[in-house]
Amino acid sequence: MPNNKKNNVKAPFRLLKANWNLAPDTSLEDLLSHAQNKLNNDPENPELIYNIAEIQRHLGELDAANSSYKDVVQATHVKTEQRSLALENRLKRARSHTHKKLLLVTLLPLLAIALIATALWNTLAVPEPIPEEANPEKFAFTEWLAKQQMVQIITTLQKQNPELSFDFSRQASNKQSPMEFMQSLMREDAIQKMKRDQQNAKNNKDAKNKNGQPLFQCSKEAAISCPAKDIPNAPGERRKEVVLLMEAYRSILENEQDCEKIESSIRSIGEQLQWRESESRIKADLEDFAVECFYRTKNVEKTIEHARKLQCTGDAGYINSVYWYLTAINHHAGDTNKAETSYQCFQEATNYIEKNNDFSPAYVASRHRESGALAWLYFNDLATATNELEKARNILKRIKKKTPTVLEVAGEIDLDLLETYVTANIDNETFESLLQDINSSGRLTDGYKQIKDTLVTIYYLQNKQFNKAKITLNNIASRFKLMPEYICGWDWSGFKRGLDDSINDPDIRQQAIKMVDLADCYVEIPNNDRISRTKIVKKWLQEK
Amino acid sequence: MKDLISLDSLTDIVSNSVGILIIFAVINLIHDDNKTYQLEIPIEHATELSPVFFISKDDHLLQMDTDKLFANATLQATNGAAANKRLFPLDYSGLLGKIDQDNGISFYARDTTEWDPFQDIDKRQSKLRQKLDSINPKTHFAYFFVYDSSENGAAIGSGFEAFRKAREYLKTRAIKTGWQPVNSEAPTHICDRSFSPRCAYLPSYLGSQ
Repeated sequence: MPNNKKNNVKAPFRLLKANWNLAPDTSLEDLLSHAQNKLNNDPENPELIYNIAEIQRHLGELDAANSSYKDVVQATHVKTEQRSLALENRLKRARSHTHKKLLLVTLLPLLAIALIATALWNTLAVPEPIPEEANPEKFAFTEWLAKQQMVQIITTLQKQNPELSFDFSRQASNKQSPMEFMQSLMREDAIQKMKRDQQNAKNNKDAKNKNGQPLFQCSKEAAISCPAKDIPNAPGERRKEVVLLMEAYRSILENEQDCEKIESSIRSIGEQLQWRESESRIKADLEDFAVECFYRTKNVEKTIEHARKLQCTGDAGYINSVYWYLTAINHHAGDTNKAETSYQCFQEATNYIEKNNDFSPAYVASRHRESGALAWLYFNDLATATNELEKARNILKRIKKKTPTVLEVAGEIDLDLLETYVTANIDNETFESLLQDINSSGRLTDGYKQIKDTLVTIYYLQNKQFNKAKITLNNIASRFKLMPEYICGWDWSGFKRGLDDSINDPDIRQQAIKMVDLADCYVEIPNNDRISRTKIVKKWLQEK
Repeated sequence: MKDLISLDSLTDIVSNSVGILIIFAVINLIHDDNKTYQLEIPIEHATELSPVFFISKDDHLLQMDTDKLFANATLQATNGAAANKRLFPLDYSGLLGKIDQDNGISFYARDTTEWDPFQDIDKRQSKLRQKLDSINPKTHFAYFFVYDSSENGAAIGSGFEAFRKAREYLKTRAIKTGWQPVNSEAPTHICDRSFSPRCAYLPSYLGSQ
């Protein structure tokens, strides 16, 4: 047994030496050394480590051999793990492949069924065409009923908006059914749209009539010579998109305080658009913004320049605006003669629009109101002012349907009249009657309410009704507390001038002047300062 | 336990505690009466201030140069590009325009990558901060068109956070703000206020007022 074992053991070393190209008589020590060198190149090779262990055992290095055997076990374990992992991965790939195959085989028939079902559903879901005579929309009775309802709606609308005319041919041109046309009329903004359309149509008509020349020429001044660039005279129909765009631009220009910016915008837009005759209203709109802005900053030259540009648009709706600003700015510049000429032209323009049926009574009444204001503000002519205001009131009284616009104009006229009543220190009954009308109108803004209460306070002061004056003073102070900004449009110069004649008591006159100063909206002072000035007058009242 | 806390002492403790709490409550009430609340009042009011328009979308802000936008739109309208409610390019930060009777001019905002991220408000030298700082509270207020959702309908990416941040910053500079919600169906638009009250672009009261 031992011999056999020895032979069996020696045999591998002979084979080993032969495999490693070593001489058969190579000693075990050299063999071990050679094996260890090989191990340096392949440290994880379990067979090599096992051979080393065997050689060590033969050499009697039992501890080293034991350690090498353990290394063999360790190396074999790592390799086994690697093989297991590789096997596991192979299995996973195979499983995944099988799953895909299975899904494809299962889903393909389902997909095919779904496609076929969809195709069938679409084919079957096509509705049966309704015969012409069975279509409810084509029923003669339905159509007749819709027409009757449409006529009823239009009659109601016409009653509520007498200034509007309704064109039934719109229906044909728009290819709307009576039902659709009726629905369009019932929309919230239908009336506004109709007003806008008719205003535009009227604008077209105006433009065609004037043939490039201003419709109105004042007899008191020389014919206006307009530079070609200021006359919107390019041929062609109104460009709808351009007009809509410029109307939207008004929202930008409305509160713009940089007048030069407005001026340059109008210039560049004009160069870009080459205003057409049919678009004169829009050009006039923009110029009106410029005039107003330059007047606000009291730029005499620019106000006159843009007022003339406004006039050159030839739009009849802006004639009064032109002469209002010319009167005011010439008066401001100290040129009384020119101011008087401009005012006479304003009156001529008012007569012109009054005879022209294109303007509503409320519009004409507003112009008379402005005429009265100009007469009183710049020419100290209380008689003309009262006369013009009475004319305006009479025009409004003749209007049966009191629309919001009519009520608004009436409120402004009443406020003007109140100013003349205070200046004239009219009897208490007439004054209270007008005040009652104003208070019950409900059309005054907070700004105008402050004007009204200031005038009323002054009236009570000059008539020594101090308790009533205290109440209106409180109203003014509490309203200023709630107002974020004090917005109004009221020129106090005429009224202030008239105070010398209307109030004899110098002490009371001084307080009235204080009231006017604190209520002047063109003087930029914080509301807190206005409140403190009110308190000063109130303190004076309490000492009385 | 019976020796440690008798019923009498327990009653004393409870009644004293309740008494102290009542005193605290009364003091608190008196103190509250003197408190000044800073209310944010979302009520619009008429103004003589001019609006400076902003679009707030996808956490970005865009100041609208209305002069440039209207000049570009006028050019397109003159060339016929705006006819039949067609969308046309405005050559302004990716905005597209559309003109129609109901909305005046509409501004369609899509890609906001060129706009200012609202986080720039916190950076002193950022362009957005400079734009906001250039608003003069005595002549102008800021008006925001705020997208209420992003294109895919998610709340993230809307313009509200950007708007709130900008409003908060502007309030510290006493600049008033106004706003309205918009979305891709009803986008930013500027129309003629004389024809419809919804075309009025007004500021709200500042909280301190």
